[in-house]
Amino acid sequence: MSSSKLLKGSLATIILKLLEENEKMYGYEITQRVKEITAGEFKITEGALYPSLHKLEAEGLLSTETQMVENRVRKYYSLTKEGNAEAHTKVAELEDFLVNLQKLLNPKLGLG
Amino acid sequence: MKLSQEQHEQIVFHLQHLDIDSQELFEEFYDHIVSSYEKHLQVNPDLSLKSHIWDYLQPEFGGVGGFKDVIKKHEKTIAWNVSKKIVITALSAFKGKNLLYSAGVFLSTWGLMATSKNLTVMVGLIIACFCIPMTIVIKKHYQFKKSLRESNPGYYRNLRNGTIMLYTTLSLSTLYNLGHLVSKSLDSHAGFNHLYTQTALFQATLIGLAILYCYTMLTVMKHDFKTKLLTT
Repeated sequence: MSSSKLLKGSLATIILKLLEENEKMYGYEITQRVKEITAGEFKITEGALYPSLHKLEAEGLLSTETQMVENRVRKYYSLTKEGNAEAHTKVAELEDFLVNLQKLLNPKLGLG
Repeated sequence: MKLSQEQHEQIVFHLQHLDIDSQELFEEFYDHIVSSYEKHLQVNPDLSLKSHIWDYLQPEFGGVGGFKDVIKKHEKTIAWNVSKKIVITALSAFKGKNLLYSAGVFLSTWGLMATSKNLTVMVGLIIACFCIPMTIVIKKHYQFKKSLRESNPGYYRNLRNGTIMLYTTLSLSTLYNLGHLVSKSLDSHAGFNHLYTQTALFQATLIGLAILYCYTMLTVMKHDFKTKLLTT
């Protein structure tokens, strides 16, 4: 199974986590940071990234600001107060999920 | 990286070809294309922008269908977001200190209707409350269009502006239908006739709702309606 299918459900959490660590980021930067951290193993497609960013913005979890960069407009995303709280919750949820998944996939480790 | 005029036109052509005509997506994708191209040029200095767009970026977005999907989802998100903002702004009139102002406005209109007993005052106030936001939105829309004409950025609209404008101009048809409904009810229901023409509290409620609508639309417009483009 491709990693992109597994990534889909965790995309919002990944975005929130990255923005928690970096004050503000733009779309392309997010795709590159994921690629860089995972040494190219995970790849966020633009077709999935932008709808997710726009949805998080509409939900009030992200705020945006635009800046002129080399004669073009760049849209930066950053976490709102609610987004910050949501990032903590989502990351904790995902960590719990991964621990339980590990127990299911490798029961011996879970018992130990 | 500074793009040549030809490269700029290639990106604009590509985005227009994909029906990306709103400011929000156009600016974001334009920056994405240039950032991505810059990065790839570091590895392959001979890479042409055209082949980068068609051979690399287009598949990354999931082809033409992928772009269309992003556009559709974005339009839905904006419509939902503006609607949510309108509701939150309307409800904010009843929260904290604003509740005192709202109560003050309502009591004043009630007092006005009780003393004047003049239906023309009520109808005039309601029409004004519907027409003021519409007049302002048309003026702001004109300013935005003027700004577009001056800088010719390659897109023609702003989705958020369009949604706010839709809600504001819808008020005209609402007012028309409301007037039609009221006049029909006045003829056929004596009770309603009495309520409408003689009851100051009912009249003040109608005016209050119109003022709430006017306040809501003006506040949303003030914060979300773009009239100028960001330029260097």
